[in-house]
This record gives sequence, structure tokens and C-alpha cells, in this order.
Amino acid sequence: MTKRIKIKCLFALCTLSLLIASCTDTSPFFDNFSNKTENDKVISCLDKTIGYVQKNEENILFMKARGYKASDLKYGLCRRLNYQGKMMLQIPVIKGNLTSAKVGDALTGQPTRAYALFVFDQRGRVSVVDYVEQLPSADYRDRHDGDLFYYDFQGVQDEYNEQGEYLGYYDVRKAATRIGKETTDSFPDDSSVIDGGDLPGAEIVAPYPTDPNDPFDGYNTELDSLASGDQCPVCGTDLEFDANDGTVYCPSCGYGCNNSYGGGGGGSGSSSSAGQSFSASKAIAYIKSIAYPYYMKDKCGHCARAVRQALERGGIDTTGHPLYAKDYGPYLMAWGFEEVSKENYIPKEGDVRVFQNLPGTTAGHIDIYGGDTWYSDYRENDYPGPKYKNVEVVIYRKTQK
Amino acid sequence: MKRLLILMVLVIGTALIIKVFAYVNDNSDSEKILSFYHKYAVAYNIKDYRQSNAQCDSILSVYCTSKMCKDTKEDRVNGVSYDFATDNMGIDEAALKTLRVVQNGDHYVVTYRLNDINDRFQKIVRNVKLQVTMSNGKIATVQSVK
Repeated sequence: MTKRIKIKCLFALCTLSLLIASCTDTSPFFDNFSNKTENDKVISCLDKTIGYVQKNEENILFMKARGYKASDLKYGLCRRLNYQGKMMLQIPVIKGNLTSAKVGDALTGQPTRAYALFVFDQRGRVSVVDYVEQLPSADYRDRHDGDLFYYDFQGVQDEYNEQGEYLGYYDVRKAATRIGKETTDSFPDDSSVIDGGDLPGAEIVAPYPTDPNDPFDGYNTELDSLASGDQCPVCGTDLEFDANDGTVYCPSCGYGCNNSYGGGGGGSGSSSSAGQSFSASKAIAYIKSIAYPYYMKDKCGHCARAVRQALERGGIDTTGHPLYAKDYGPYLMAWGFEEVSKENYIPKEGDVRVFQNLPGTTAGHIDIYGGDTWYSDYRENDYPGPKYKNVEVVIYRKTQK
Repeated sequence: MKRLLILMVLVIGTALIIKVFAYVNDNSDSEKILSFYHKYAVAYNIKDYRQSNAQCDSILSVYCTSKMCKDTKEDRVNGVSYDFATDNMGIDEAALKTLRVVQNGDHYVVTYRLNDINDRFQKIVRNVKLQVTMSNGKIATVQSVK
């Protein structure tokens, strides 16, 4: 008798749970999208993204290269953005588990400061997969002890597509400023998708080098309203005036440094550019903003590119630049730099060192003095490495005409 | 009462054995690190670059994790020839006179004085302090402490 009652109770319970389950809408609902069609579209694209990542986990280059797993993509925190009229989902990539998900809150897990970007075609299929990794400021790790803050990124990150082709750069400072302003646009407590609205063109895949005719050069618009002494919208430091081109820039984080394009002598080749002016402070501010705080084996190794870009930000037209770092000597001379003696040498901001290659390698090394230490694509100590103390090095300094 | 006494002796005995094993293990790790840096300093300063690399690789493969060996080799080709075993500080034979290894919690602190040059091409003596972690009896990570 007791057994029969037990079975009956169990049956009743099962029926009841089935009933409850059928009455509950189990499909995810993102309350940021009042429009049901839009909501369904996001869910559909998100589903496709999850399927796409799970299916191609081994083949997606950025995941393969950095050892990410499908679970490292935090789909629940994704932003829905419009990119050139197409839907784009921007999904944070964070190794480990998250415990907090509000803008401004620290996220636990390994702070990768990276986003996976998925753009969808008109039929809602994944058409572009991209990856953006954001650079922390030099003292980021000290200040935050490994925590990740959304609004605390700065720097300009070169961007490549899945085939490794260079696309342009992603100006993280711009994005960071925007996200910082949108503090009311916080992630819901239940960590769902939010509508990020239109993605301004200046924020992603801006043409590089900067095209003066680029209509998306919105960065300048904001700078136009700023004057020397105003606070930098990114880091709060007082902006400085650059007499060379009449613009303002931040000496601390490099904000505004990409305005220096087009300045200088306007020469079209390296041989005709010796007379162009060089703003060491702009070059340094830029390289400090892109240099990794320490050497990262998988990310560094592009010293020539980093220093060249810094020189460009400083006003040097580097057209026709060499491929290898070790070959920059004659080009620097052509751009108006002069060799400096090593006797009683005292480093000066903007000095460039060219190291010859170590045996068995081809590239050599190049770095620039930033006032406190030497920089290439990472913050160095006195030398790029102990072995470079034994190779031939020449120091160059720009002489202002 | 007798049973309780036996039980207590057993517990204390086991704890003591564990402690002794841990001490022996820690001590052997310290000695391994010391031995590694002694050999590495000599190999690292061989004038012939290729021969130096070959010797360093052989020492790294004995004392360090495969990841550190791989990273070191790869970086010679694709990077700045970063010396992961000293966190790019470098080491020379003169440093061996001052080489010390001290255990500090779950890691080891390696210190030595290095005859170096600065970016003004002046000879200086640098006090190097490295934080070394071990994994399965092999050197896993080395981080310089400023």
C-alpha cells in the first residue's frame, strides 16, 4: 500500500514538473531588445556563433594560436553592434570563469583583454571572424593586480584577419572613452546581450597609415575641441600643445598622437625627407602606448614595425623603409638622424639604437629611448637582452634643422 | 587509553615523516637550482654563440621544463633571443661567487651580483634577484624581481 502511494506521488510530481516546464518560456530573452524580431535575430546569430566556434575550435587561427577554448568566449557578455550595416557580435574572450559582469567591475579569470568579433551576412551566417586584443597601459598590472576593467584599456592595436593580413588598427582609447561614458549602459545582472548601437567607423579597422581623406577620422573631431591644458579624456593628464603641427596631444598616454600624420616635410621618399621636423615626445608617447609592459614571446618580435610607427607619429615619413631592424641605419641618416658617439653617451628622448643581428638570425633589433628606458614593441631594460650587449650597435639622434 | 596513545604516536610519526620528506625534497630543489645556474653561467658565456646555445640547451633540457626549453629555442629564431632562465638578466661566471638560493614559501629566490654594462656603456654591478618556481622537480618559471 505504502509502495503504491509512493509511486503515485512520484508520478504526480513528474506530471507537475512537466506541466511547469511546458508553461515556462525557456528561450533566452534579452530585455535590452524590446523588438522581438531583433531579439530573435540576435539569439539566432548567437546560436550560430556558438555552433561555429564549437565546430571550428581547432581551425580558428586566433584560438589555435593562443590556446583558447570555446568556453573562453563569454557569449553572455557579448555586445551587438552594427558594423558597416551588418550585424556584429563582439564577444569578450576571457580564460577562466567570470564572477562579475558589470561595466567597471573587475572580472576574474585570466585577463586577456581580448574580443572575438563575428560579422554576419544578410542571411545571418558568420561572414567574418576577427580578433582584437587590447593593450594594457604600462603600469596596468601593478595598479589592478590582474583584474580586468572595461574602461581601463588604452593603446592602438594592429589588427589582422584570420589569414594574417593586416587590416588596420583598432583605437582602443576611443572605444574605452565611449564605454566609459556609457556607465548607465551597464550589463544586466543576468549577463545578457546588450545593444551597443552603431560602431563608429573610427573605432575599428581604420585605414593605416591614416588617410587624410578618411571620413571616419572622427578622432580628430574630438581633439579639435580640446586645447592645451585641458584634461586628456582618456587618462586625465594635462594635454600639451605641439608647436610643430599646432595640435594637442597627451604626453602620458599618447592620445592625439596619430594627428601627426601629414606633418613634416611632405617628402615622398626617404631621400627627400631629411629636413622634416621630428617630435620626439609624440613618437615616445605613441610607442609607450603600444609597447607591452614586458616581453611577451608570442606577441613581441616586431620591433622594427613598432619603432617605425613611432617615428611616423613623430612626423617622419618612412616611405621606403627597410624590412629588417638592422638595416635602419642608412635610412635614419636619410631621414635626418645623425650617429651619436658612444663615448660619454647620455641617452636622450627620441634616440634610436640599431643593433646588428645575432649569429644565426637575420633581423637584428631596433629601439627608441623613451626618457625612462628603451622601447620597441615592449618596454625593455637597458638592453633588449644580454646577448645584444656583444653585438654591434649604433645610436642615432635626430638633429632639428 | 593505550589505543589512543598508539594512535597519537602514529599520527605524529606520519606527520614527521611527511615533514622530513618535504625537507629533503625542498633541499634537493635548492641544490638543483644552484647546480643549474652554475652550469648555465659557464655555458652562457662561451664566446662561440652557436656552441653556447647548444650547451645551454642541453643544460636547460636537464633542469628546466620542456616549455622553457622550447620557448628559449623558439625565441632565438623568432624573437630577441630572450633568456628565460634568467628573465633576460643574464649571468656570468663571476656571478657564481655570489650566487645564493633561498626558499621562500612555494618558490625560490636566486640572487647574484652581475658585472654588467648599462645603456651609457658604463660598467656597473647589478644585483640580480630572481623568483624561481619548480614543477615536478624542474625549473618552470623565472621572474626577475626589481
